[in-house]
Amino acid sequence: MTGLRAELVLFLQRRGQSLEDAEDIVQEAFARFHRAGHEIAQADTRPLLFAITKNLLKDHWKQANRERVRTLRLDTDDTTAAWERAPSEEPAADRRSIARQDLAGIATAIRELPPRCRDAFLLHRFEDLSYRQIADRLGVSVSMVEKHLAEALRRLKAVRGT
Amino acid sequence: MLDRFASLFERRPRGAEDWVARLGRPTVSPATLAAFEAWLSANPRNLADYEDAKDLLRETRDLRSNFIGELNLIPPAPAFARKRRASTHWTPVALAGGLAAAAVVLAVAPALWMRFSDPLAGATTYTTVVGEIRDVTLADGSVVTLDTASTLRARIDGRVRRLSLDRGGAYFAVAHDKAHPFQVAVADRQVVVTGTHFATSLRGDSARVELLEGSVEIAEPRASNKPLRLAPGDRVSYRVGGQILREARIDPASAVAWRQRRLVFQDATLSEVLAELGRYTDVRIRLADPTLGRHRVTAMLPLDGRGGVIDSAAKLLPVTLERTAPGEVTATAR
Repeated sequence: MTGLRAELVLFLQRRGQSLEDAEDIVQEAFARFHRAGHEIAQADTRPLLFAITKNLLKDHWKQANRERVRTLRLDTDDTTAAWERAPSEEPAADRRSIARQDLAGIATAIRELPPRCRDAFLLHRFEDLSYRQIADRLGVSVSMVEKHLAEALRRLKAVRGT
Repeated sequence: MLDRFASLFERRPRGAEDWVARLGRPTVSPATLAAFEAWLSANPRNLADYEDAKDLLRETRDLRSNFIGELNLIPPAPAFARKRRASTHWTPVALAGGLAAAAVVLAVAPALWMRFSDPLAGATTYTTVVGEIRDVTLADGSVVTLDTASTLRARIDGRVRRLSLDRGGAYFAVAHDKAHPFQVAVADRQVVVTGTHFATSLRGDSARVELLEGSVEIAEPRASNKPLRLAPGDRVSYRVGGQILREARIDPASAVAWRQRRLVFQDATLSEVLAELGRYTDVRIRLADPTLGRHRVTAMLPLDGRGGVIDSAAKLLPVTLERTAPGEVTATAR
């Protein structure tokens, strides 16, 4: 993990950040990573951290740009500037957690999935079986299991969205 | 190996849900990871969608107890899948070695197979003989008291503590452990627990669940029916395939008195009392006169007295017990 941290710092330094700024950004990237509920040492860990870091780098550039503009126009209202600097994706936090009553709706939605799709989802989510094991149990291919799971997620998302 | 080869030809995931499903595989190729990173970078919206999809998946965690019935209903794998599984283990080694390996795989496959199809494979079995009452401490610290003539299977090492009461009765003082649901199969239903005191029994095809403390849910075998949640003092019974019936609420003091090696009866009919007693002895108790069975009795009978339950009954019940045949006593009014 420290290896990944160093890699991210290097990535930022190559894009013109000072060591200090790079380390701050990486620190923030890890914080967001954990806040979003991700875990270290998963398949998606590295791509996610790179994506988050790149987003932060973009914000960092925008902000630096704004500061430059602000020092040119000394009469700009401070509160407006502060508002503009607020990170754009902050409201994500409350969208994150599903309310209790929604869980009941999701349970109903799981029951209403197409049978094979539901079985694959249940075995994956509640029996901790690997895709291979689920495939054997249901008599389908591994890639079919994957498709079932994606389909289940899409349908559940549609339910939560309404 | 075949899987990895086949994955080369698979369609690249498109949406956030496809990516969550793809990355749930135990091994993901570097090319796939690179494609995933490119997808994330293509639009900031993608990261948010991906996180939402993962959240949704995460939050279903607490729903497990709602789906015990459905999970039990998923049929085991068809036979051809087993063969295919064995064949994916082929490796092009020398022929003799290959044959030997095939023989091993064929020998191992049924065992593996049993593990998938029977969640209680490898379980420890506890039994009591007629008249025996036994306390058992399970690996997780839960204490089970087995009633007379009972069989209980338990597998405590998995993510779910699984047990099955195959016959007789059992009282459970469940060690609290939210991460490992405690689940007892009784007839065609599952009693699901987090930490509690309850008793189950299965006599013939008639099952009963009594809850003393905490809460349990009884999961239905059918998908459409919601699990039934019991409150302390609740007593329900059911038969395989039948509905769950609520019975009179229990008196916690007398309900599982057998656990303290005694039976408590308050204003019960003599036939009820003798039927209960009959479970603790191989001796058949016959009533000389059927009307005698309607007598009302209030009594406390020890189950571990010397001479067994027949002696206790003779002393404490308003009847005379007489040996009338080998393994049979007859009760007459005193």
